[in-house]
Amino acid sequence: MSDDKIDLSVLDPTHDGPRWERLVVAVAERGRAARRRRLTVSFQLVAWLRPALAAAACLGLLGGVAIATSAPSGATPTTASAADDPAFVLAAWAATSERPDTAEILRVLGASHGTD
Amino acid sequence: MLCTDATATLVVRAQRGEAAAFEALARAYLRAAYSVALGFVGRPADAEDVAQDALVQAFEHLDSCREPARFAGWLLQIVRNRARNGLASRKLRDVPAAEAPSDPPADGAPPDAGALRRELCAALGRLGAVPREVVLLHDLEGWTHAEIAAGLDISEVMSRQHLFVARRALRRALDGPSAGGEDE
Repeated sequence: MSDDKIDLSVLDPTHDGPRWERLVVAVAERGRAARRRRLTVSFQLVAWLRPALAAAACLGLLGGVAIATSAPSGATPTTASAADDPAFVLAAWAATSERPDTAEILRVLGASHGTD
Repeated sequence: MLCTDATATLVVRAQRGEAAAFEALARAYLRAAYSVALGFVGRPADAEDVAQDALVQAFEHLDSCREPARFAGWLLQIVRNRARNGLASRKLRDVPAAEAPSDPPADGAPPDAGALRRELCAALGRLGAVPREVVLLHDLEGWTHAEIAAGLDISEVMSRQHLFVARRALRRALDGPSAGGEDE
């Protein structure tokens, strides 16, 4: 007895043929549009991803190189320029009670003049 | 249902973007999707929504279908997931299927079709998930056991067994409590 098919026709949505046909067409169109939209976004992402990553890598590399090359050369001139600074030299003379000779005073002040 | 070769061809054509292939796939599988969804959500109108949304989602992600010949099984898994999500959101809204207003009768259906439909849905709801899908795909959608086995990833023997169990349970439910002892 259980081998007989159960009549489930009241649950069949295709009873209303034209309505079901409209549904099929609408679903196909919605699906196709959704896929097209998705592919467009995906392709744009993929297209932009590689150049963006390459640019970021280049910037990172350049930044690293710049830091590596500028850090040591920047420290020396700062120390040297501090030693040549007339204010620094005069302050050092005052602090140590050193008595520079005239030529040295003229050189320091002259250098101060020259830098301006 | 289309044979696996025809399905695979249509899927490949749809992956290339051919509009006719989308329509052929929708025509071949929308009712199967509806049958599986109905087993989950228990209400024809909700099942139609779930089936449509699942098919649209499947088309949108058609490239994820790595084995076009197994499109049916892949699609039905999407249907189940969407149906579960639909059920969860319906529970949140607190509208049980049994208390929901009945759907209007379809054209050509007898006047008391609404009551019979509700009765059938309730009886289907008392079945296990797999027997329910098997009986709907076999007796409503007209799939063979081989097609059901491929679609549900079970053996043909199991498909026959589930169908037998489901039909017996449905008959008991539809014939009323007095008919329950006949098969035992």
